[in-house]
Amino acid sequence: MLAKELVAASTEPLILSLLAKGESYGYALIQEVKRRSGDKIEWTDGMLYPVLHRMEDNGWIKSRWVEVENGRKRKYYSIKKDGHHALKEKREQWAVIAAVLRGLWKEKYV
Amino acid sequence: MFNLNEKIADWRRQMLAAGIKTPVPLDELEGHLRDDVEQQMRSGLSAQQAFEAAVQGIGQAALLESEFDKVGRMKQAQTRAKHAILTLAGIPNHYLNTPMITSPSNIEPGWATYLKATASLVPAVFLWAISVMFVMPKLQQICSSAAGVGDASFWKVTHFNFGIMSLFQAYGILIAGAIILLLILLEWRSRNWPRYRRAAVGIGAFLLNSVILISIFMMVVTAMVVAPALLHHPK
Repeated sequence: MLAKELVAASTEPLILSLLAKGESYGYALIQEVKRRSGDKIEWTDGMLYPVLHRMEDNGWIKSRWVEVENGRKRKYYSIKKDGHHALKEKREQWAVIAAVLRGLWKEKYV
Repeated sequence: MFNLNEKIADWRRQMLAAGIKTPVPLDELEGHLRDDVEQQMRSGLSAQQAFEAAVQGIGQAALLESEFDKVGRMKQAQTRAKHAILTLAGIPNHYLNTPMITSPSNIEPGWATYLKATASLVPAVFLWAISVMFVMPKLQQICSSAAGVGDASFWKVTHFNFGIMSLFQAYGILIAGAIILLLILLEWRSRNWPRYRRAAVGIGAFLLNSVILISIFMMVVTAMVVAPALLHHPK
């Protein structure tokens, strides 16, 4: 399992990256992250929704209710233009951190 | 016998009691709970076991509420900051809390809108009438004596300004009549007009005020430019 702080810091870039692939809903996002991380990132189910709402307030993502089976409704999220800009920024920031760490660790083993 | 719907209804009540606001977050959380229960039942758990695991996964009501509350507080703080900036800028932002196109319940009466627009136009129209009657003829006379002084673009702007003033002088009553007729027609025939009236009349009054004040300002500039030239002008 990853450290709580690292999971928290990576939540927004992960959500934006997943939604950049297509619209999705809370439960599916949690399952997708869990699967892609080999069960190493496990978001607390209920904690995801306040983050999604905050991102919606920021204008990065938008939501719509879709009727699924048995008359049930599900809230789907999709990325907006501002979300793509935010994702680009976050990618650059994470790339800097990854490059610095990669460089440092490479030096250590040379 | 375990009844999933009853259990979910109980869970909703607990969430409501903890302060999770209905309908949006709670409906969304219920959707999540049902998805999780279905998934766990597919992997072999009983309905009761699946429900208990899903409730545990979603977290305690109080904890969830505090997380949602954080988002709500941030939103409130942003709104307050926006209102403070608008107030400092002198913009009456209580209108901006609701859409500019007002809902039927808070539409301003027509007489109030027209009275306010007229009151805001009175000083500028009075100044314009004085300028057109007493100042402009004299200024035009001075300008004709000082013709040839200054550059061509200055005279272009001056003549354009005189043209606008003369246009209003010649056709002012006709233009005002046409506007009043249009407003009467809108009041009489358009069902949507009351919703847009306040914004449209306000913008119209603002534009008219601006045109008049800019014209008067241009006359002052013209007088300041041509007056020194007249001092050296042969009589």
